[in-house]
Amino acid sequence: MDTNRKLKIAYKLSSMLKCELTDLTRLSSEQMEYIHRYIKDHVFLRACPGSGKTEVIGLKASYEISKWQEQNIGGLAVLTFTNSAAKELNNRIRKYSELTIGTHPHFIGTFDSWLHNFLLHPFCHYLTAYKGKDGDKSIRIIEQDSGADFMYAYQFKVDHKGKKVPVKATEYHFKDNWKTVVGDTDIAKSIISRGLTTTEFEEFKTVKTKFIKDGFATYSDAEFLCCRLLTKFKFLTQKIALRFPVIIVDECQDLSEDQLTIIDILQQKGTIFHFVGDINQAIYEFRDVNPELLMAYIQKKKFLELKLTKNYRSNQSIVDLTSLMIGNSDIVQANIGNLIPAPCILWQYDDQSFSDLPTKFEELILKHSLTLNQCVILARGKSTLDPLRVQNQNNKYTKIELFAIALHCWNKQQRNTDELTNALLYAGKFFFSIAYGGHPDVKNQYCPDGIDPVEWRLLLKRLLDEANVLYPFKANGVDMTWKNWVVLVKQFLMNKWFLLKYSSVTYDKIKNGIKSPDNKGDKYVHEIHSFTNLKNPFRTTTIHSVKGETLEAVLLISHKNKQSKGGHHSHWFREGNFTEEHIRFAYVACSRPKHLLVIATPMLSATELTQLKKIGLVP
Amino acid sequence: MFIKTLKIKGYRTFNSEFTVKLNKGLNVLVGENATGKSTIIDAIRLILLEDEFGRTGIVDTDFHRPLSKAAKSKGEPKINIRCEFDKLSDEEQVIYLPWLDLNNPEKAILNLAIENKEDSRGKFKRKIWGNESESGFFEWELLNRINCIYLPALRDAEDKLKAFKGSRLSRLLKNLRTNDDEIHPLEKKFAALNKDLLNDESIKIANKFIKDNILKSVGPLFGQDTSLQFTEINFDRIVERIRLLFYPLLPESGTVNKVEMFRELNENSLGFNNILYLATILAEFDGTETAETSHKILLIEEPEAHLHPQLQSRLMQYLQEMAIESKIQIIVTTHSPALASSCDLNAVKILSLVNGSANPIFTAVADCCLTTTTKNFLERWLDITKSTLLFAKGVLFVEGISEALVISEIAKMVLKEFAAKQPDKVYFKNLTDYGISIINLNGLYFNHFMAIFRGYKKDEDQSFVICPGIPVKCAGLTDNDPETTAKPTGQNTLPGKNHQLYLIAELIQQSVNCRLYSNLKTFEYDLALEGNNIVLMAQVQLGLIDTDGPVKTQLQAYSQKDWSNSNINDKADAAYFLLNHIDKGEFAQALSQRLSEPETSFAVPQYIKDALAWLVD
Repeated sequence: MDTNRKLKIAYKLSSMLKCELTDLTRLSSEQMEYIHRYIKDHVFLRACPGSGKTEVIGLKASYEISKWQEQNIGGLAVLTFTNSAAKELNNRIRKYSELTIGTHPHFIGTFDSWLHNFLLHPFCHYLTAYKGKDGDKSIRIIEQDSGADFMYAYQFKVDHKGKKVPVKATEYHFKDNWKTVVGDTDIAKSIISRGLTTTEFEEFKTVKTKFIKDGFATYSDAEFLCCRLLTKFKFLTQKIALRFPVIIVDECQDLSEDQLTIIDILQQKGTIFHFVGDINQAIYEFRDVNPELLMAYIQKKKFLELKLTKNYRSNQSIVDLTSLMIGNSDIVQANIGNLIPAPCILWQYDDQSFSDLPTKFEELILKHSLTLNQCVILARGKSTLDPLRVQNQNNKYTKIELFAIALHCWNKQQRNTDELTNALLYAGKFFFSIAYGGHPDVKNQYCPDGIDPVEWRLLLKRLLDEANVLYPFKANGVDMTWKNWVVLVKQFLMNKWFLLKYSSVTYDKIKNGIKSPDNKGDKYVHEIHSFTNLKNPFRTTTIHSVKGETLEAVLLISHKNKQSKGGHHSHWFREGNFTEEHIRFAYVACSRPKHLLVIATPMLSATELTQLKKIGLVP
Repeated sequence: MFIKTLKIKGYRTFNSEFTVKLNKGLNVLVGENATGKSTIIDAIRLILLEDEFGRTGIVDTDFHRPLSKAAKSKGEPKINIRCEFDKLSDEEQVIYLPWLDLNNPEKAILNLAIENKEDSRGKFKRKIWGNESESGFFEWELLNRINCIYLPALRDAEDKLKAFKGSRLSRLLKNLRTNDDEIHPLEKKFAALNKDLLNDESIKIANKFIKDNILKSVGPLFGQDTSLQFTEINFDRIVERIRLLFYPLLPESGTVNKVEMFRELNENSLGFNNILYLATILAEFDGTETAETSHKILLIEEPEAHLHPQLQSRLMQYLQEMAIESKIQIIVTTHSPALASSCDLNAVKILSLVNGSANPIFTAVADCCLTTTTKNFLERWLDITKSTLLFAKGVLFVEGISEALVISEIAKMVLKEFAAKQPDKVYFKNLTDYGISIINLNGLYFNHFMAIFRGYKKDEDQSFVICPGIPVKCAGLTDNDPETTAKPTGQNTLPGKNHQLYLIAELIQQSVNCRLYSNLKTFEYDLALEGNNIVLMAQVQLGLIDTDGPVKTQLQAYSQKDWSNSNINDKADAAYFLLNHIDKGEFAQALSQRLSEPETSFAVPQYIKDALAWLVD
């Protein structure tokens, strides 16, 4: 695009948007091309990491919104996949356009919230014939890992490897009009992959049907149901397509097969789709996301392909390294200089030095004057990180452990928001599980049905406050064992049971359920937080949760074991084969930092070391 | 689209779910006091968030409390209002998508629930949602598209038409403004005026005085500059200063009334101010003809306020036309027979209180299965006096003026007699106390008039089908009408030629509310045949005759005889004679006068007693 034309467009945009001309002239030709492009074609905008994608979508959406005709009855939808990304898009679009409080008739949010609000909640009961509760026919979304008691009603047993294995309706979902069943947990996947008998298949279907008819659905079910809904109610599809004549999908590589089906149905009714994203960052295989399907779809529907090839985030060394990882032969241009001479560093650790990694990383960060809270420790899976984490996210605590952790978090000196949230969450889960039945409101600290969430939180606060005798797990200055602590807890519960309003259970009914964690009766209660002594000032998380972020530095830790599924460095750097998801994980992790990338591996062999050096890592 | 059904539960009068059926265009809600007409209007205002009301309009007493409970007891736990729209256009289906009923895409549903639980700020928790599921977000913009305007019953039109922030006039003018960005010509003119003002000598001097005094009082450090201006230079402020004036006469064609002739509204009559106010509101609807507000609802309580009957009828016709032309759904409550008689009968909805029913009964005349002939007939025949039948608790239909005049007096006697016979039952003194209207049909039109009440219809194959009817007891009195010369008696009945007589049996068979009663010959004949009535009736007629002659002689003879034990055929001859020598209207007038005198004794024919018993028992 020549400078003159660019200036002309920039001038036009600055008159329509709340954006300074100087900011607009800074846009690249590629960015400008897409923003200004007439919207009536299907477009796939291939955006490399750090290409300013969010900014471009923000401007594009703002531009379209300001052109949007009043009499046009529908609106533009801008969809993405995480709440944080949706919030960011919302901020950008608001920054540039005239949207005030609401976005009506436009929609900016996650694919799920769009689907749920415009299809699932209003209409799903027409499909499932769900009778509703107190006149409310909304579908309840149940998390895949829901351990709620009521789920036992939707559980059945399957013979698997010589054992009777329980399977819950949340552990699998259907697709292709009930023709195919897909596992969502390891156990369900394993059962399904060995092939189901007709009887078993029918059983899967019956239980799922019951689950759905009773007004429940998992996220995957929701997508499946919406597909069915659109197929069955043609007129609805037509109206949705008119309601949203243009839909921009950000992070399109995260589209699942069912979501793609929904898109296809709407596309056939005339909705125009703009896909924006990077196939190399598709890391949701576990959710049925297959980038090859997306590419095939893009080709089949003849989407116009545009590219954003400039990286505005990372320095050239990091850009080059990431390009090598995915075998990208195009030269990606970095737009910032190297702040640190050799910004791609390789560390090796052994069992002793592993827990020193955060300290070592901190020293390096301070040396280069980077901002600590902009630096992150990453790994593929939680198991690699758990030993380094202050906050253990593990959900598999026994009831009594939940209570112990809640108390620990609650009584922390200078308790931060995370600790407060966790204290209430764990306490909520504990008290719900011992004293209430029915369906908890997971989003509100397991608030039981019929109790106001605020009232529930206040109750939890009171219980945690009154439980001060149970903390810090000591008796006469001596650490207590679980066995002894349980006695105190029981006493506490008996005395305070009257506080649990609306509970239909008596203390006597549940007292036998309050016991030490298995085989831990003689262990000390305080061990549950022993890891908190670990010094780690960094946000320590999985690759999934930093998707789309820009960071100053990243420490990516390889699992010590090659058997780890995609968590070992040998899965990340493979010459010749670039289609595996493991590589894309590493790619996402390595393309986050601006200035510094450290990869920590277990001790390397000479060959391995040479190989890693070759791609640009400096030991 | 339009509101087709409104379901109200737990709100004021309405305990269990109460269904209101509305139609496109004009709807007229009639019914006695305290049947819930205003509650229906308020329910619509609540759910559609009509300003001034929708957001706050709930107090604790709005939650239904049965009459059996103490006044201060806590009401129902919840108020539910459900509004069903119908006939959504293709475009509206897209707009109101989340509210659509998938089984019928032309239908959309909106729900409101208010919990009887005050928060610390004294507000009641409310939830509003489309369709059947409460989850998901609610697009308020959809609700804002529905433009609902409410005119209260005792409106102070003069006050509303004054110039103030948010006045109707300023809203109208702001709505009419198409382009917000450009400077409005009004603003330019005011700005120019301001400049001029500053050049005026007196303004200049005044400003100087002020400036000097500021300087003197606070000194140069704290001093401020001042300028005298006409302040209203922004469009919104300017239009808020505009008010309506009037002149009672229209200009002659081709001329205009002079500006200085217009008067302040406080010089105008209440009724005309009301009309002016209404016109302003309707103009506002015209002005808001944009995509933003696609549905328009106008709620008017008692538009008859301060208007004389002809103006009421004219207004009703105007509203009816507006409803069609501007596609406004208008819902009117009224106690005015003039209004009720001048609108399309299908627009009329009746609320009736029925003993033993928790809620009032809602009947749309449109649902009463009237044949086109009957409907047309009724619309032509319903004048102001006849349309009182829509407001009555009971109706007695009579054929002519004689019955209409005499029956109310006779009824008093009959009610007294009932009370004497059944001392354990309470009987009122007259029909007015019962809320029963006597409606003179001026002819034999029972089949048409009773069609709204009878609760069944006759199919083409002559079979009967149950259908809605106004749940009010109604009776008719009709003459048997045998041959003119016939002198039937109790022992010698004769077949009548009255073509409505078939209804007597049909109503007994089919109708819960309606009965028709007939006699031997005609009203006066049958009265005369009863007991010693001839004496009194002859006396009454004698009072009306000034000329001597055989008629007078004969009547005198009748009036002096004791008929108690006379031969029935002699009585029949006398009754026949009487019948042929009276002017019915004049006679009825005099007879009712006589009957109203205390201690008058008069025997009442059984068919009249039966009819009255049907109405009051």
